[in-house]
Amino acid sequence: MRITLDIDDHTVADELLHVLKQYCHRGVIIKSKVDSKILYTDEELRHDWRAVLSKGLGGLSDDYYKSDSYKLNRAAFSLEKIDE
Amino acid sequence: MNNVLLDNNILIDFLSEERLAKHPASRQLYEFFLNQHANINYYISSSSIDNLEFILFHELKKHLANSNKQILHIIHLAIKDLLQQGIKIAKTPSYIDINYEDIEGSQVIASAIGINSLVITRDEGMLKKYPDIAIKAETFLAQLQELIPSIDFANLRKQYFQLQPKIEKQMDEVLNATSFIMGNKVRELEVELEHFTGANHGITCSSGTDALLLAMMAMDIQPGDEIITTPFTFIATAETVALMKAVPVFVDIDPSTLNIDASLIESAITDRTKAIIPVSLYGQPPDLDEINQIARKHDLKVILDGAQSFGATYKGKMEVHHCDIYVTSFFPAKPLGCYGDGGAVLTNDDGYAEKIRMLRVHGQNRRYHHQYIGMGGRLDTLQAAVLLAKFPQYPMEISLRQKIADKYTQSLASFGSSASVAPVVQQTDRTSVWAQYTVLTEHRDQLQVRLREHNIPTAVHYPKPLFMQDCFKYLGCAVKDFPVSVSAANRVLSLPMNPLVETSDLTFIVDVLCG
Repeated sequence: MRITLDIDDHTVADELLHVLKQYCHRGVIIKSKVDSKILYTDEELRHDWRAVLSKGLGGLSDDYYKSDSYKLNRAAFSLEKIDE
Repeated sequence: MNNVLLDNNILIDFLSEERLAKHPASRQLYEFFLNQHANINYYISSSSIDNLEFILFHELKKHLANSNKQILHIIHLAIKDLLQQGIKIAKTPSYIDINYEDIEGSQVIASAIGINSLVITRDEGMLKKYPDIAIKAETFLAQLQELIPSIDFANLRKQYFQLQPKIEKQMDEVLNATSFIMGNKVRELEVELEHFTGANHGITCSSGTDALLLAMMAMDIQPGDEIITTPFTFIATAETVALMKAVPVFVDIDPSTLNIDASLIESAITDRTKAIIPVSLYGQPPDLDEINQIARKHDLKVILDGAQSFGATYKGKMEVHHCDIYVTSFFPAKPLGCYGDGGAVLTNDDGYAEKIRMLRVHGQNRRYHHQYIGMGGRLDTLQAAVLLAKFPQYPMEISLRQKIADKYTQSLASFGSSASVAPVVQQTDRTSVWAQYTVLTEHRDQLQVRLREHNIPTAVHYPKPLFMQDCFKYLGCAVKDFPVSVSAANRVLSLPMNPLVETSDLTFIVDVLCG
């Protein structure tokens, strides 16, 4: 059986990994992949938000607007944006 | 002037240096936007704003480990920034033709139709489906280069799009309330007029012409009464006198200001003279002290025709304080104009005010009880709404008109005696609202042709003195008695004048005029 966990919060991820590692000697294999997401400080966001935005949008494809995933993601957005 | 509505793909380019590098046409468009090149208004459809928020959020989430709240915060800063930089919001109109296969696209197209605009996009589907409206940035820029710049005489369209949100809000309120006749906004406007001028009474009415009629009706002008006025103005001033079956008695004008020559008034007074109607031509008050002195001496009333001069002052006070009744017009091209016909009567006299309020509603003092023969002379509530939207910035517009007039005068003076034109003189003891900036020239026809060849509009206010009009031939006036009016009619030329005249346009106009 394979279980995939998608965790945004680094602290939560570290804590879970610590627990899971207790089972490694019983055959559990952990493959963790850390996304190359950047965490900006409040200060950086306050002063450089234009640059952050500019860089973040650099790879956005025009095709995305008309894709099915756009419509699916669009529907989920309203819920997602109020999750905090 | 062009309106363009930007599809989200273009707006997102505006937010990203990396994307602008990939799309040179977007970069050029963005630079045009920042520099306000070619007087283009840039819009986003109201329907696109939440989609824009979503797209930005979705994309940034891929790259940022920050919280949703933090990401949304910078997205909101970005949208706010675009709006503050000048991207305007175009509403999606109710007459939208929804395409159910692409609701979002049809909303954008409908918004563009609502503001008579193109949609700039890279969306191939939209470009194919709406070839008359959707356009690539590259194509738009190429078309823009082919456009010959032109100068607008009154810039009403530009002003409308500047004030569009305020005007829409005001008009929506009237439409939703369906209070089209004498709605609350009419009185609201009258209070604004009273505050602005310091007049005891501001009474709106259906036009500047009706304002003149109401003033004379309030003064009980009778058939055969004589009213002294200027022959060098718009027809309404004397036409309303004739409509009252009274007799317009013309007095020639001052050669420097083109307003009525006060020194000639007294010789025109007879025992049938009841009133004087001077006009604040082009926005500048006439010699009101002299006129009032004559009026007092001969027990005459003064109705000041301020159709072109609302907001002008004479010796530090608004014109309404220098006459018995002041009338003005809110015709669209006037300095304070509505979107149809409109006017107002202002007075400090309680008796006149009470009577005029009745006269404009068929002479009634309460519903279906008519004290006087009156008229249907009310201002539409919709026009009051437009004026309320425009009123807060009117003082600033007067100031801008003054600055533009000053620049015209200085530029013309820099040509010295080589200039074949001279401005109408502005007296120092009064302020004008510059309804027109008018020059005098012996070469009017040639200059008009030259200006027209450079897409510079002009106008002649007015080509024929009133006593020479067919409708006034019965008065039997002789040309020799009005040499200044006749000369002015052959020499006046009005140049583009409005608060939105660009300095570069003004320099160009004067260069063409005097070059």
